[in-house]
Amino acid sequence: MRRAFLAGFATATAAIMLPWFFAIASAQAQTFPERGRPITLIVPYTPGGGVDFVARTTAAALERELSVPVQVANRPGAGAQVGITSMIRSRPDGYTLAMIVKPTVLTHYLDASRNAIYTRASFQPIAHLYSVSYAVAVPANSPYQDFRSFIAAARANPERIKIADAGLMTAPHVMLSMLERAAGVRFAPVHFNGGAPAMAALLGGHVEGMSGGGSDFVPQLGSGQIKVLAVTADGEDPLLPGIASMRSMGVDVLFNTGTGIAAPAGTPATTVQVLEGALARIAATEIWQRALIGYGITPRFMGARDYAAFWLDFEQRVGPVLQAMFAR
Amino acid sequence: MESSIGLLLGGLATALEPGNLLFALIGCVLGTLVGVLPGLGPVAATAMLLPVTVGMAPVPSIIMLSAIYYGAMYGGTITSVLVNVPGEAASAITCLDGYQMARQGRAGAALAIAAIGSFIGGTLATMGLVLLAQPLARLGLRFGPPEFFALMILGLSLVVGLAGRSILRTLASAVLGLFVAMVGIDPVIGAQRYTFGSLELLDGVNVVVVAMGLFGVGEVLLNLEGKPVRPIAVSLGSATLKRADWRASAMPILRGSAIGFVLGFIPGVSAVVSSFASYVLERKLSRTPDRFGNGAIEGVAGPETANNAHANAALIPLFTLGIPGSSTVAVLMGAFMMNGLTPGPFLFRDHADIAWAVIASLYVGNVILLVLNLPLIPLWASIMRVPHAVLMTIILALCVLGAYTLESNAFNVWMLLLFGIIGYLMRKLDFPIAPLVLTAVLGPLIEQSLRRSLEMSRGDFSILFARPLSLSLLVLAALVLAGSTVQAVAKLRGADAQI
Repeated sequence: MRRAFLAGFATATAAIMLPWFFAIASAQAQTFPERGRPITLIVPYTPGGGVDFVARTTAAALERELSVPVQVANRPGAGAQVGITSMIRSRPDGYTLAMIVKPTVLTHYLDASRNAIYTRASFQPIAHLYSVSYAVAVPANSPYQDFRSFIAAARANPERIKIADAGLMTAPHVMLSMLERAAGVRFAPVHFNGGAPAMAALLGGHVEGMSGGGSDFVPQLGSGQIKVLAVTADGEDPLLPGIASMRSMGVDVLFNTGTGIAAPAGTPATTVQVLEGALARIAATEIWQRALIGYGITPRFMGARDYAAFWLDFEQRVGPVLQAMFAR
Repeated sequence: MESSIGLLLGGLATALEPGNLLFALIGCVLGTLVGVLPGLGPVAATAMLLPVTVGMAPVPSIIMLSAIYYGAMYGGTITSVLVNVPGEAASAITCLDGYQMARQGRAGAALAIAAIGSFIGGTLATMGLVLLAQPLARLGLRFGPPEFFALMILGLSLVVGLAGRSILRTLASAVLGLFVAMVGIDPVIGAQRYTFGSLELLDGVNVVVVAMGLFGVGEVLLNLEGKPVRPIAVSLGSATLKRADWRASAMPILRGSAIGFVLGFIPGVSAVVSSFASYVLERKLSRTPDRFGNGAIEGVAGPETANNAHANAALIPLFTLGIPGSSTVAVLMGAFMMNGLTPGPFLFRDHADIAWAVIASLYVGNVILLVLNLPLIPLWASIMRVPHAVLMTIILALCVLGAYTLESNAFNVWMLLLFGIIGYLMRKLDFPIAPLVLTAVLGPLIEQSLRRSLEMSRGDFSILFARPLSLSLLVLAALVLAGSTVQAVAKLRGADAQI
C-alpha cells in the first residue's frame, strides 16, 4: 500500500518535473550564461595586491553586466601555477576563468623543470585588462643621479651594483635581465620577497638600486626619498610623469607586464564573445577606470583577438630572455 | 611634540564622529568573526572588503579596514584558548597555556586577560607611533638582510627556552620544523626541494595548516583514545580576574608591549616572533617555570599583548616611509592609495586631518574591541559546556574548513591530517610542539635573509659579522643560547638520561 503510494508519487513528480528539465537543457544549448549559474574567476595569488584587487572590482561589475553570480576564488601556489592549472583543467564552458599575468605564465611553460600542463595554445584569451611598466630607482642621495651614469657605473663594476628586486623570476627580475642584455652590463640582483621589502632595503642603503613596477615607487618618489632613473614604457609611464624611457636614452628595453582574463582553449566562440563584450563595456566605465588608477594601475583594454596577438608578440620578445635566465 | 598631541586630539574628534564610530564597530565585529573562523585570516578579509570601499569616504573605509585587522588578531585568540585551534600562527603559542586554562574552567580569565593585554599593548604601541614614529622608522631601515638574519637567529635561540622535560626532544622538534620549512622552491636559484613532483608543494607547507594540524587535530586524535575528559563546569563569573591574576599578568603585559612594539616596527618581522619571544621571556623570568604549559596566565597575557602591540607598531613604516611592513598592512595601504592618499612622510603634511583621524581611530578601535569582547567572554566560554564528543567534532570541522579556505585547496586538508597525526605522535612521545611551529616560521626567513646577505656580499660570509648591528645581535643570540643551554641541561639532565 505504502509502496504503491510512493511509486505513484514518484511518477507524478517526474511528470511534473520533466518539462522543466527539458526547458533547462534547451536553454543550456543556446545561451551563455545560464541564469543563476555562477562564473568563477580564479585569482592565482593570495588576496591583496593588484591582481586580486582588479579581479574583485571586475567581478563585481561582471555580475551586474551578465546577471549571474561571479565569484572570485583565490588559488595561490607555485608562483600562480596552481591556480592556472586548475583553470586549464576545468571544462571549457566559460564558467571558469582565471586572471593571467605575463611574464609569470611564461615562466611556467617555458621552464621544462616545472612540468606545466599547459602552453600558450592551452589558453583562450578573453580580454586584456591592464599593463604595468617598470622602472629602476636609486636613493635620493645616490652617486648615480641619472640613468647614463648608472649604466656606466655598472659597466665599470660588473656584478658590483646591488639591485633589489621582488623575487626570483618576478617581473622586476626579468626586467633587470633584459636591461643587462640590452646595455651589456651585469648587476648583482638581490631577490626580496615583494616590492615593499625591496623598497625598505633601498631606503636603508643596503642596495644601490631597485627594479620595480611603477606603483612601487609612487609614495617614495612623491616624498623625495628616491630618484627614478628610467622607465621601461614606450614613452612616459602615467604613474611616473616626467621620467624618460630607457629607449629614449639609447638602451633598447621595452617591457610591460600584461594582466588579463583567459579561459581554457576550446571555449565556444559565442561564449567568448559574450564575456569579451561584457568586459569591454565594463572597461569603458569611468568607475572601473577610476578604481584601477586610484590603486596605481593603468588600464589597457584589449579584446580577445588583440590579446592573443599581444601574447604571441610578448612570448617572442621576452621568451628568449627567460630561457637564458633558466639556463643560468 | 605638543603639536602632535594636539593634532591627535583633533583626529580623535573625527574618529569619534558617529559615522566613523559605526564603521570602527563594524570592522571590529567582522574582524573578530574572521579571526574566529580559522583559515580566513586578516589579509584575506581586508582584501575582500577593499573593493567594497570604492565609493566610500576615505576616513570611514580606512577605519573599518584597520579595525578588521586588529579585530582578527583578537579573534584568533578565542579559538586558540577555547578549542586549541590557532586561527593564525601568531596565536599558536597561546594554545599552550590558554587551552590548559580553558580545560581547568578558566577560559573566561584567559580570554579576559588576552583582551585587556591586547588593549594595553595596542594603546602603548599607538602612543609610541605618535611620539616616536620618525626615529624608529629610521632605525627599522637599518635592518638590512644581514641584520635581519641575525635577528632571526636570535629568534631561533628562543627554541631552547621552549624546552619541556627534555632538551633533546625540543631540539628534535625544532629540526623537524626546519625540515618542513625546506619544502618548496628555493628562493635563489629556483631549485625544487622535497616536492616529489607535486605542484602544491612548490610553495612549501603552509604554516597555519601546520599549526592547526599539530594543535587542533592532534588534540582531537588524542581525545579519540576514549578516556573522556569530564566537561568542566564553567561558571559564567569565570571571566573575572582574581587579584593574583592581575599581579601575575601586569609585568608580562608591559614586557609584551615592549617586545611587540620593538619587533613590530622592523619591516618584515613576523608577529609570530613577537609572541614566541614574549612567552619564552616570561617563562625564563618566572619563579615557577613549571606552571608554563599547565595553564599559567602569564603565558597568555604576554604573547597576546605582544602580538597586538606588534600589529600596531607595524603601521609605523607605512605612515613614515610608505612601506607596508606586513601583507595586511599592504592591503591597508591599498585603501589609502585608492583614495588618493599616499602613505609616507608627506601624508602628515598634505592630509594631516586624515592621517591623525586614522591614528586616533586605531586607539578608538582598541577601546571598542575591549568593550565589545569583555561582555561576550562568558558567551564564548560557554562553548566549553558543549558535550565533549560534539566539541571535538566542531574542532575537527573548523580545522578542515580553515585548511580548505586558506587557499581554496583540498591539498591543505590532507596536509592538515598529516600534521594532525604528527601532532598526535609527538604528544604520545612527549615531544613539545611549539618549537616545530616556531622553526617552521623562522626557517624561510632565516634562509632568505642569509641568501640575500650572500647575494649582497658575493658569497662572503664576513658580511654577517662586519656590520655592528648584525654582529651584536649574533653575539646576543650566542649568549642566550649558551645561557639557556647550561640552565636547561643542568635541570633536565635527569630526564635526558632516560632516553
